[in-house]
Amino acid sequence: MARVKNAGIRISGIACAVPNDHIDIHELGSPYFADDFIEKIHKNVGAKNYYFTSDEQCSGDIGIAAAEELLSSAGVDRGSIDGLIFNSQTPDYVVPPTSCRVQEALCLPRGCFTMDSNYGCAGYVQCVMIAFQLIQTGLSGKVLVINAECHHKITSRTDPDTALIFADGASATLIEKDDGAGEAFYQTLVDGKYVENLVLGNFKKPSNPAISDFEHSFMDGETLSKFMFKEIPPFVKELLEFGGIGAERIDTFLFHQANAYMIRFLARRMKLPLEKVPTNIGSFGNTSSPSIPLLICEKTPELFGAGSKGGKALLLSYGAGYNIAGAVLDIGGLAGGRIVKV
Amino acid sequence: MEEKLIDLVAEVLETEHANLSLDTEFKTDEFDWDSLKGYAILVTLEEEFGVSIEVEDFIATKKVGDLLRLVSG
Repeated sequence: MARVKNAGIRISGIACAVPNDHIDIHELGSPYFADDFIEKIHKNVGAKNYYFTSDEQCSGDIGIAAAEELLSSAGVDRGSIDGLIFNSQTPDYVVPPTSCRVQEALCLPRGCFTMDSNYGCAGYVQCVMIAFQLIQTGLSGKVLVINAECHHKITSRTDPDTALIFADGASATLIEKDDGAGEAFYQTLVDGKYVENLVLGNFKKPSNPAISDFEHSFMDGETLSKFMFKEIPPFVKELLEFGGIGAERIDTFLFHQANAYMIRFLARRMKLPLEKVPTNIGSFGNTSSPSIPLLICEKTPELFGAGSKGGKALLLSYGAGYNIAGAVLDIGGLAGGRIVKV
Repeated sequence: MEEKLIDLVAEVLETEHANLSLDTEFKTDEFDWDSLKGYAILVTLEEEFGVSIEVEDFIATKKVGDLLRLVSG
């Protein structure tokens, strides 16, 4: 397990963006699936409404929109941002990094450090953790993390494992130095045995025919579920021990919104009160890496938003790799907070 | 062991203990059965009873009583 503790750094703002075009689960599924299958996905997974980018929109576009909303509403001096991380499974280009386009579009300084990552659903906590380390090492003082996904463009409409699960969305998170900020604890786990169990495309030869196209992602949901059911409870226990805090002192547990049943099951296994484990997959589907910031903006504005007293949160991202990333930290007084449609 | 098993299966199926007996067929629409709940039961029973269950053996089960035989060795 990789672990790191930081102090004097905080998340200062979050905003999100979703495309204008949205669709209901029955409208999306009825051309390809029986009504009882669609209803079971709705009841068990919790998915109901999805936002999809148009043919003319890409991840960079909705990521930039989320960042514009955050920087404008928070009145951030763009010249002060010296770190930018763009995480996506559907970047605008293979090369160059989409973060280069975003840096220019947002009028960030030429000296701003930029990088792309492709962590998938675990990408939110992974990238926030990296942003904290950029600040801790002195490379950056204020880092913008953008998570943006156009997952519906890489989803087969006839694949029962993915068609009614994934959707599009974006988030922007600002992280900066703050001498008054308390300690933050990060922990990650990777088990590379499962790289081809949740995958999109490959240049690797010889290629596995089941996963060798760049058009559609492949997800072995059953193996993924079993892995996460077994690994997440001890992972969270160790994260809490690392943070020196009991679960009862966490105000809210913010899990990646993969599947509502999965989250309820994990919460019960870990004996967490369900009222402290919010879900909103019904609002947006599984948006992959922006799902936690979308959850924060929609479900926790009183706890974490502008003017709030704040609270202690446990964040948990998990997905392709397989990869689990968790954090325990204080969040409060967040600038931004809106989910804009673009 | 029987009561503990039914408690655990009820929790996974998000139903009441009183709705289950060893005779209950649990892989049905009444419990909104899907493969995710299957893996939830599998992992729960392995951890709670300290046993290892082959997926094929679990797939062959129909009733709660079949699960009791799996965890009893």
